[in-house]
Amino acid sequence: MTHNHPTMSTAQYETLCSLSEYILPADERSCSAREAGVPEFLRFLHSNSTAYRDYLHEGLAWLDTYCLKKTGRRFIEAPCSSQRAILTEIAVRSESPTEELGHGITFFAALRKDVLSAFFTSQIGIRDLEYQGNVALAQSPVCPPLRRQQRSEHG
Amino acid sequence: MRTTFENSQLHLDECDVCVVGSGASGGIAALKLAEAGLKVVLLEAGKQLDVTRQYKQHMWPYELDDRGLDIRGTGVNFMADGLWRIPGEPFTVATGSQFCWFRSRLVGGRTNHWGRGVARFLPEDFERDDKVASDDGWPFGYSDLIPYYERVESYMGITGPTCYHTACEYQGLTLEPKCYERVVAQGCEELGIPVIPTATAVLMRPHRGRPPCHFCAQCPRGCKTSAGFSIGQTAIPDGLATGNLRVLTNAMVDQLHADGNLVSAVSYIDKATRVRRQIKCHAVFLAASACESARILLNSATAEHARGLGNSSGLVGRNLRDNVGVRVHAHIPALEGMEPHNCDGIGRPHVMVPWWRPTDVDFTKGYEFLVAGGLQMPSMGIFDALSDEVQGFGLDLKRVCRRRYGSEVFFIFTGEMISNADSFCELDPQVRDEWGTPVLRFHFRWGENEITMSRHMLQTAHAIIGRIGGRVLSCYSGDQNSMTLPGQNFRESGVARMGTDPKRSVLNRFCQSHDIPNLYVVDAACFVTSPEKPPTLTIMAVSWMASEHYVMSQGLSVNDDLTDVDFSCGTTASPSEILVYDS
Repeated sequence: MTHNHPTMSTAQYETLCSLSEYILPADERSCSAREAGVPEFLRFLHSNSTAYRDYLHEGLAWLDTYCLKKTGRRFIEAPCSSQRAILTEIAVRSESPTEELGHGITFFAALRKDVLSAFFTSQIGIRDLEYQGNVALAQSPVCPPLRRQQRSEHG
Repeated sequence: MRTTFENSQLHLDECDVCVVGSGASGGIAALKLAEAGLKVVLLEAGKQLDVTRQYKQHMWPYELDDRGLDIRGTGVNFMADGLWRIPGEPFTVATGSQFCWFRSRLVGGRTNHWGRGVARFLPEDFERDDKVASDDGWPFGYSDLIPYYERVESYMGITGPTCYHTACEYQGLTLEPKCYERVVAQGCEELGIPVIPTATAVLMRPHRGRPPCHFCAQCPRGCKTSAGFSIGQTAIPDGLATGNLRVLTNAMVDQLHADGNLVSAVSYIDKATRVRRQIKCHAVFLAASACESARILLNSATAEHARGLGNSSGLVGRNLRDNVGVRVHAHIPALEGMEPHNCDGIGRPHVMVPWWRPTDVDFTKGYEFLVAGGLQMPSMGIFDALSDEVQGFGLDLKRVCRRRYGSEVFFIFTGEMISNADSFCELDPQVRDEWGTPVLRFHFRWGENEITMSRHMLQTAHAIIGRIGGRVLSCYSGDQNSMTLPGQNFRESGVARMGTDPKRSVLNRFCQSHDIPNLYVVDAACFVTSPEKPPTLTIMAVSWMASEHYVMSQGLSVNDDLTDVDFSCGTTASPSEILVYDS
């Protein structure tokens, strides 16, 4: 299947698919962000909003440039180990990032927010969170007592 | 004096009363005037929504192409409708000021998508505050308004206590606090801050042909069933059922015409055909929303009324106020790991904190707050705050999101603003809208009292959040004082204030112009002060009182006792079948 979107290249779209997969992969409870349609939604924003177009264009370009320098290949063509290593470098909170990584860190922070938003507002993501509302009830729901100190560490 | 219409066929060019604007105040005025037998034409600059198709209630985010982000800037996506920017109808803001102006161009106005919060003002809200030099006090007292509060409450159908001072004695139905509200309320209790049930115009029982709430929590997207009160689903069909009301949509009023000291006609542009039309009338009720009403008066200036119609005082456009707003976003770890459950309830928080008069404050007037949050329907931006805090990606991130869901809360503070000389609107000398009418230019400044109050709001939020083991994630800061921008609280008022002295006010106690006896301004432009309480109930009560005053001045009788009036609208027309004539 090809993605001949007027303003996003196939390579850009594939990179976005790969990044979505890394940010939210599949587990026993739900599929990955890529399978939940996150790249399609981000591409829609890209082609309908200048703000999204600019940040995605520039961010994806930075990623390829940096990856070429490190591995001699563009991100989508690099081996998984290199891709993961680069993302680990930029998926950080850094008060004073190096000049080289600054743009990448800013881009990844924005992209991660958008992937989380897009996934958890999809039908799959809303089910994953077990949101129970938006149904018609005869009476106001009454919340159960809190389960104190019972924090789930495993989803 | 009164116009006669044959077989309800209203002549387009003549009526008894022209009501400008179909929101909370205009809808009530049109209904009360039509019920009394007056022939009423209601002019609405916006359109009639098809409630069933156009309200966004019950929609999932993924059913909208931009998931409610509103990337086109039209404001129509995840709300019923409502616009911060209207193409072709700009406004300007003076250098050094900030102002946002929300205009809901719809039959029913903002009542299509309001939060349904209702509260009466307290007796002291109507009294002159000696600490405030600009305050003349309202030209009537709380007791004068009680009968109208009762009528409006009875008409709307209310859940919860509308009087803060009698909240503890309230015997009616209230809603259980939601899970996150119980945690916040516990913190408030420990700090000596009272928590009371909210009052809302949302039905728990069938009322006048409207069904009870079904608890989808989406009131601001428009209530298709009309369990949440809106004018377009009640007062408009009720008014039409009298046979005395005609509603014209897309009718953009720009000028009133005076004959001596009486208004004689209303000019409007039919936006569909771009043709200017005029309606002759015996009286005008302006209800276009506070600032738009001021704009129409200012734009109606003539040689005889050089400063604008009804503006011998020079106070039209002056005393512009909004409410003080502060928003605090917090994470409450105690809410993590909750059993999945439906915590929607009604669209407004079930409990609230009224002004509790702490003794250690260095400002006058007060504020109130609500807390939203919990296991809400996921929306865009849901994990933005979390994403700012974490590093990495992958399965751990997915698990952290699941744990965080439902444990964030939003404190929404609303406080009273005092009028100041630097906050006003006027006609822009240069800019005109696409209809050729001068646009409004806004000037705005928060006073010291508001800034001091906003700091106290922040302190209160921090104290409660700390008490329940939470932490502040961010404070919305429209400006340097962490306050929302002027206008963002949707509470513009004061620009044609009431009073007893014609030199210090525009209207008398019945919203009647001191200069032009057959001109009434019944929206929040008439407000003398801006208490922190939700204003809609008071807007409607004041409009009801003004309408009765006009009816009685015409020698007609009013329906004083609601039990004698059949308001049921369910049998005549379902809300989506409202008959509205396009002009």
